[in-house]
Amino acid sequence: MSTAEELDLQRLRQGGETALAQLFAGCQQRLEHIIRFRIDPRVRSRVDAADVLQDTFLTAARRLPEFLKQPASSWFVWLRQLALQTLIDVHRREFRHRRDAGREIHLVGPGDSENTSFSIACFLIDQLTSPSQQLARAEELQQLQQALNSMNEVDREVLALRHFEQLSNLQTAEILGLSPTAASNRYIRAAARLTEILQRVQTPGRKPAP
Amino acid sequence: MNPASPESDADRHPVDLLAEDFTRRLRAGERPSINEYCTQHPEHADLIRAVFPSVEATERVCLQHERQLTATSTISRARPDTLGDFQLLREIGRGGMGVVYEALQKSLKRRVALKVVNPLIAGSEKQIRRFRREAESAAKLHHSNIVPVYGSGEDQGMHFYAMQLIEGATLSEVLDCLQEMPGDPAGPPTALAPISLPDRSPTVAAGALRYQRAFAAARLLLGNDPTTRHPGLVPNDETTVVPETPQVAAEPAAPTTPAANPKHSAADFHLKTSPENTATPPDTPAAAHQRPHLTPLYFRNIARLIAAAANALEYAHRQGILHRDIKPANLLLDSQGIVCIADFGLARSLEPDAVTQTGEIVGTFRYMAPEQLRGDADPRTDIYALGLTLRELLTLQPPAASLLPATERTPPPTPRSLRPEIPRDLETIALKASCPEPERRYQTATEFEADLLRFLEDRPISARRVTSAERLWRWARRNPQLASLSAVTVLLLAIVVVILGVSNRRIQKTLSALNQQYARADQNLRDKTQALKTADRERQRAEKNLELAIAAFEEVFSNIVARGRSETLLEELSQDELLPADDAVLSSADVTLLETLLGFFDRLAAENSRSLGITAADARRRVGDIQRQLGRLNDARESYRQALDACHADASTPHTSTDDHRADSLISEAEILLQLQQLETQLGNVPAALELLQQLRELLRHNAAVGRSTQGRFLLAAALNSATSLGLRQIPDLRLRPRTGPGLLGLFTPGTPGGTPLLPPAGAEPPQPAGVFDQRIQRTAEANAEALQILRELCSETPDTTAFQLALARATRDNARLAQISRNPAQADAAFAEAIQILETLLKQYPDNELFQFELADALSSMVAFRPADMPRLQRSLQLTRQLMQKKPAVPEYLGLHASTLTRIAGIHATQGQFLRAESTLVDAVRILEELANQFPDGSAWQLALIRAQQQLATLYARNNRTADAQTVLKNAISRVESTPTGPRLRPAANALLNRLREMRSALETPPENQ
Repeated sequence: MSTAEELDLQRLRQGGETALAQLFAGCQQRLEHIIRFRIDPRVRSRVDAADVLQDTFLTAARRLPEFLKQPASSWFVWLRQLALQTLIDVHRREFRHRRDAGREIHLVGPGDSENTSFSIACFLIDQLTSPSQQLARAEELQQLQQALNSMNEVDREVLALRHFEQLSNLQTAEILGLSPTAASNRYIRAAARLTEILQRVQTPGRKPAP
Repeated sequence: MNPASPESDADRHPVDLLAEDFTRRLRAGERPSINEYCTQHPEHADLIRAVFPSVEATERVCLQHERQLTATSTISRARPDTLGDFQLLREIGRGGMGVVYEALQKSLKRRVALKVVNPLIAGSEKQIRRFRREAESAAKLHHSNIVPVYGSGEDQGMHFYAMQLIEGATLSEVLDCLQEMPGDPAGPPTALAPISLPDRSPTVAAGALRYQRAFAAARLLLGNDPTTRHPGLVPNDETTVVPETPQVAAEPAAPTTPAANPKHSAADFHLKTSPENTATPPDTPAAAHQRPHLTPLYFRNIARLIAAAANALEYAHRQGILHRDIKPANLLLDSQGIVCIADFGLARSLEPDAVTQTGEIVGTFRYMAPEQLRGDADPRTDIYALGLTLRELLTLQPPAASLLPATERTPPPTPRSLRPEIPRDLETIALKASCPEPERRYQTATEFEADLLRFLEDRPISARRVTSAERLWRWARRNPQLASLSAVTVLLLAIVVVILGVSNRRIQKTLSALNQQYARADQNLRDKTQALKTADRERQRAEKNLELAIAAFEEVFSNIVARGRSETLLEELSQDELLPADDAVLSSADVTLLETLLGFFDRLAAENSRSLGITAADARRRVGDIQRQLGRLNDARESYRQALDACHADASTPHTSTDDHRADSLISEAEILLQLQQLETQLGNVPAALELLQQLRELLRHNAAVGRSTQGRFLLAAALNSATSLGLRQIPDLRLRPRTGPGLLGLFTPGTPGGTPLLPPAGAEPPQPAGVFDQRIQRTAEANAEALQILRELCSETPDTTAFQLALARATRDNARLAQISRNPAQADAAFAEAIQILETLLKQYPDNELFQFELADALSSMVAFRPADMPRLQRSLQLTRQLMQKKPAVPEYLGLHASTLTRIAGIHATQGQFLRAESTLVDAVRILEELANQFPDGSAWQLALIRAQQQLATLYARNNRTADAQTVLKNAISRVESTPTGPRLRPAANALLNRLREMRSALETPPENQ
């Protein structure tokens, strides 16, 4: 455990809810970012990330003593878990309202990886080619998505956590239950693999205009 | 929570660390180049090329994703057509903070740049308030190098601010171009093919336009646009006139709108027909290089750009506004080559407070000063970032990609090691501005600007001229000739200079004089050594620096030593015979300075480096001087003895074979002997002092040339003076000291009519056989006579040497004292009058000389026998000390002498029965002495003078039937003695004094019994 983490925990033990509020404010933006990334597009118009955050804070305040008694994870990872749990609750509530139980609830975690593959594929295609060539690339898009799907699930998730959730290596390692070294090596492997995929999919041509 | 935690770095793949930095920069809106990482970390180049493209692509995806979220999550977050008064025309840029649009301000019908804050960033209410506040203050900035902010607003939940639309490129874009330029930057850029791009997407077209502008600006900075060169103009003229504006030597040829045609914008820049342009080598063999060759004109252009930016920073700083996020991406270069700073104070206003905790630093980590990472920022923080920007423009390499704070990194390679063509002065300026320690940077943006202007005018820059630690440090680094000096010594030297800079006004004055000396020496050196090779010049300059530094120490030190010690005060204090009053009165600043000087000279002596123009003996002597001044008399004795040994050793080396050297060496030896003798005098060690006097005589006798020289004779006279004062101190002068006259304390001794015997008689002198006195008096008188004779000769030979006159006056005062002791009042008065006369004459010649004023006042105050006839002298002395105090109100010696004189005047009043006048005069004296005693709580001399005066005042109060006041004063005196720390040497005396005061108090408490 890093000293910064220890300091945070100490602050929480001594400062109670005030300290929690202060520390929460410190990672609010990151949590909000994660919520925005993970929130189901269908509820996005009705649920604001700030609402989710607020619920998360209330849950955190309630469960703080329990957490402090025996921290099972780092403080930020705990918060993220609470936020995602809150988000799942929100999704359940929203979809129950809409009586849309037939649909698979858009959940978080590795189960989401195909979706991630798709969006990565879309946007990479979008970025790497000029608009005029885009239509001709539908085939490539599919190729790319398949290639991404062929990636190791954990590798792909490492990429998503590091980039989409903008988490650190330590946090990524903690969430996926890996050692920091393993997470770091996986990240490099995944990124190199992705480059390979991109190069294979991308037609040889000029480099993108800046 | 702790992404940059050092303990985790070891576990991580090294490329992962680099990728993290790369990602961070991408998120900050920068455009880091993959090649740059490959160059900096060649061992990982292959992996970097394998990993980074996907990192870049993924981050783009994330950005797209966010944009999509922003656009779709709520209607208000889609890009609107209008925001408030502004009609959005097209997107022109995108940064970490938000998107910049070209917009039309409908009410004023002007085109503006509208920055719409990324809603993901603009989080809390508090941040938004801070943003609005910053925007308001930024709008108050009106400077030609600051992008004017028109105002800020909010519409449909989006926050934005409007600023002037600048047709140009950011320096970060320009840097990208410069980095990507092939060897021949004059040719068309191969990396640039925007003209062939289909113009379907406005964003792509805008990007291409910006790229073209950036490319044109880059070529403009390099000054090698072949189409507009004017070969017929003055070639390579160094008498450059710095143009006010534009900052880049360029002007638009045609006022066309660059937006209209991308092809056209490259031609928007034309070289100004300035003489400098032709200084550019037109035939750079650039094809051989991978990187563009940076021309002298480029560096001048850069210096001008940064100077203008520094000027703008200073302006903003004076308004109390910090930028907090200076980086190439925030410096715009417009089509006229004028640099403009954007986003004043705005970027950072949106950051969460706990930036470093979350590890998500929105701004540009790598341009942040170390103190900013800790959450501090002041004007020097902006100077740091601008310095780094200058550095990047010089080297074309961004600041090191390290996750560590700057202070913990290994220092980056110097710019010139990357590009030898960088002018040395410009490198120095960049290094100084971007120093990790704020104290060592330019302290204001003006200083930064001034140095850049000096560079542009080919004048010496201040970064090399200041009398500060840096200068000495630089000297040490650059001077291999003085390698015999260790780093510790150089460091000490630097510390000394720093302390000198802060210790006090007097030293400040010395330093500013020294500064001028530096400047002169610098100038001389420049004049003289123009022809010399650079290395040679550097060496000479460095040696000159050290000489000047040592000269400064001597001046400072002699200042402390020469602050006259008042004979009057000594007399006053020695009246009791209880206390040795030879402790130096030093402020704590003096002590610190002396301690540091001590360390410095100690090192110098140990290293015995002749190249410094100071021998080990000299250095050791200075160590002794300082120790003596600090009251470490035994240490000082040891040091002087070592100096003597070193002198002998020096005399036996071959290089002293010439007569001059030999004479110098002998004089040094004689001086050390004199210092030792004075030291023994101070310690009251008569036999040793006499022995040393004898040694000095022998030395001078055996070396007739030296013995007959002016200097040799003067040394002997000084030693004789010292022997005289030792003799005088040894003679119990019960008969003649003021105490024996009707001094204040003698007032109320038994038998004095009308007096209450408050005090027991002062400790009786041990009876001594008259023969011993006479022998001592005889010996002392002989020494005095010899000194007088030598000094008279010296004075008549060189009447203009004031040191001789002063020494003569002192010897004459001693003569008067001796005459007093010998009960020859007529001779005493005559000698005394002569001493006064010498000093009056000196003062007439040098009416403003404070030392002479002080000496005269001191002489007038001493030798007082508490006769009414002494009053005019005392009044004159008061007048002189008053003048001195008007000139320098805080010099303790002046105040002390003034107080002593007042005490004596009070004594005369008392002898005349004017007890009330005596009392009020004494009250004044006590007040002054109290101030001094409080100012120097450890300076026992002032404490003693005060306690003594308080004792007298108590006596007077008692005499005037003011018992309560007397008790109060005594109580103060007692508690002062009790609380004053006394060394073991003084403790018995202090206890005796305490006892006496307590006796006085108890005598006051029980007056009826005494009656």
